[in-house]
Amino acid sequence: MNETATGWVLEVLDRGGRVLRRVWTQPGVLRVGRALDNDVVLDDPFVDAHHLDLVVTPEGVHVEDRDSMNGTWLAARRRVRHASLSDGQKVQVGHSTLRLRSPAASVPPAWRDATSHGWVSVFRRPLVLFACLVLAILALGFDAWVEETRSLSAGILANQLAYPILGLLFWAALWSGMNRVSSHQPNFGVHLGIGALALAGLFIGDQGVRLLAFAFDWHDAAPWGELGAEITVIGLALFAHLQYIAHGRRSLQALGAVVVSAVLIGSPALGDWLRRDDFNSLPALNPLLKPPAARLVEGQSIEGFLDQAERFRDDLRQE
Amino acid sequence: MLACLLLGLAGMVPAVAQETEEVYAAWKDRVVQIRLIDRAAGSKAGIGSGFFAGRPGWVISNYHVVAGLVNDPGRFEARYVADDGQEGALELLAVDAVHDLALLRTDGLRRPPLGVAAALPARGARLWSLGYPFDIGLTIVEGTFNGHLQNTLYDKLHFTGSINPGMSGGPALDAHGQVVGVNVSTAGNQVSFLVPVRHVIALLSGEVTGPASTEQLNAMVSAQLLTNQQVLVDRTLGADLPHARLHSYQVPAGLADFINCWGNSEEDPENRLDLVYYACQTRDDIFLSSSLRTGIIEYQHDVVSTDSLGPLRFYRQLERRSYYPRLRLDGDESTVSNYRCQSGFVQADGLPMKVTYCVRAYRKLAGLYDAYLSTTSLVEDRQALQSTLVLAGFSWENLERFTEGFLGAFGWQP
Repeated sequence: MNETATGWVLEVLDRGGRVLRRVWTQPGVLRVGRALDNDVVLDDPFVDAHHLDLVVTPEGVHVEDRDSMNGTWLAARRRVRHASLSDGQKVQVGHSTLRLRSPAASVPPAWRDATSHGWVSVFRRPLVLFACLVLAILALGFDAWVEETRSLSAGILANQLAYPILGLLFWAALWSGMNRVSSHQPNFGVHLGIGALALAGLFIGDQGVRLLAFAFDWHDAAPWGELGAEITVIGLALFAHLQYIAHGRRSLQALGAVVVSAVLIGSPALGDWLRRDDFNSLPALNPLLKPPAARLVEGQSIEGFLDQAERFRDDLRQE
Repeated sequence: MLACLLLGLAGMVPAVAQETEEVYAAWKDRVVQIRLIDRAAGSKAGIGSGFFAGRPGWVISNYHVVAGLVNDPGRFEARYVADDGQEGALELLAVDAVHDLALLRTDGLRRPPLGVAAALPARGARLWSLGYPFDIGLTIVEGTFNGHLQNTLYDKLHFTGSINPGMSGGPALDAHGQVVGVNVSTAGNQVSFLVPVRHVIALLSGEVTGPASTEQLNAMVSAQLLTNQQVLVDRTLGADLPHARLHSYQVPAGLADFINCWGNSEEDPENRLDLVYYACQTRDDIFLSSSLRTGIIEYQHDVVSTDSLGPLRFYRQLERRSYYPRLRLDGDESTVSNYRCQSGFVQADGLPMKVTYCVRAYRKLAGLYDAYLSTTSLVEDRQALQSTLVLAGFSWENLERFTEGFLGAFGWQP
């Protein structure tokens, strides 16, 4: 049938504007109506048995109404008996809509899949997904190796890895669900890749901050640094997920991601900060210890160190 | 003047009693039960003993028996019950928190005061301790005198006889019926302790104007603790803190005879660590409330090593060991503030360390602080020294002085 196809395509749309089916036309007359002997049968009670003819030539398509009861309408506004159709033009018959398309015509931006553009598309590549997963597994495995002093058995590894991996799968599934709602495609692999990279990022960020804080003796800054790193990583991950699932303004999404991440990660820290005056009979120790080789600055003198504690004196006097 | 009066009394030595029943019969009316009454409950919340001493109506007991009156003045009141059932109210006149003594006054009951012994009896002499153990009535316990406790911070007498809860504050009498000491505590198995009577004499000789307000009592306790900690620091800190060798480390050790040290070593296969402990503490402390003891020096050195862990994993284990304080001081919200902590690298003599130093203040006792110091050496990949020091009830200057001396005594000689 396509050997002599003119290239014009007739689309039958449902009431929501979605394409129900496409008909590749040939030069000649294409009969449209409710009766089964038509070329294009419309299952619509408001359409006549033989409602209209489409006259297809290489130069164009004409519509000829066959004295139908409810008429043939262009763009739902103008009832016509004869008319020439142009690319993209819609013809309303009964409750059905026909649209003529030329394959040569470009797809209008508004019709494009708006959800998978820019840098986040890299997660579509299987190699990238694989690399992200490997990175996450390495990070989790390294963490387990440092934390666990018993010989690293399969059981311990499974234990240390099982919960984060289940969490990661759940996270990816959640975003795919939202992706499916918004654009009919779950993109599970993409969200899994973003989640895995975020997981590895959290680990690398925390460890990096602690290593730096130890090396340069920025002890008090370490908790804030860790918090900042976590908010950044989760913020970036949320932004990437959002870019994928929804067509929206980039700056708005970035702002939303940062705010949600700050609330998500920051609220437990805020809670701790608000409860900082709650009584505790034990000192709140936050030891930060790394091997001696990681120390990059000289220690203070004993007197210098103790002099710093003077700042607590007035503080304590007020209590 | 009063001391003379007491010594005068001591001069009139009564007849020597040889039998326990004679001692009991002669002095039972001088000993009262002291009840701390919770006003809201209208019932006793604590019991102890006391005896008439010094001036008419004055009663000596332990500070820890009546500490509730100082710590929670609105909540408690003190009452006495004499051997013949006479009851009445007691007022707190003065305290000696360091030696665990309190001076009270009855609201009406007047009995002749007990005399005080001018000198301590010979070791092995018979003594009789009186009091109201477990609220089961006045009891006399015969035992022997075993001199001053060795190597303790706070002066105490060793009485071999069973002092039981409720007898605190009662007198321990010699054969002349004179007070040698005040029942204060027990280590069980007839090993009991008395406050030497010279501290009673000092308390009775002090200036007493009348019932003391809570503020006056707190000021009194603060001043006593500040004086005491100065003595403690002077006795401990010489020019340099003494030190000992523990593996390749030089550590502060053997600071004073009243600080008792123990050693131990163990393997921790779970964490793949080998541990050597050296822990020292003052044998004694000062009772301030049921949730706060003070006047304490405690320190511990742990040499931690591993054969099988790499530096990264080994120092992670050290980090985990440091999350929870190895030595603890008690205290609750009403008595102490929260700790304020700082951490950083400190360079001791050839021994770089990561040090955490925390301080907190006493809420009601001005000028007194506690400190918690924790150190980890940073020189070797598979061995480290982790030390902890706690100081309870010191002035700010002395905390700093002691901590500085303590840190200065560390060293490393591979």
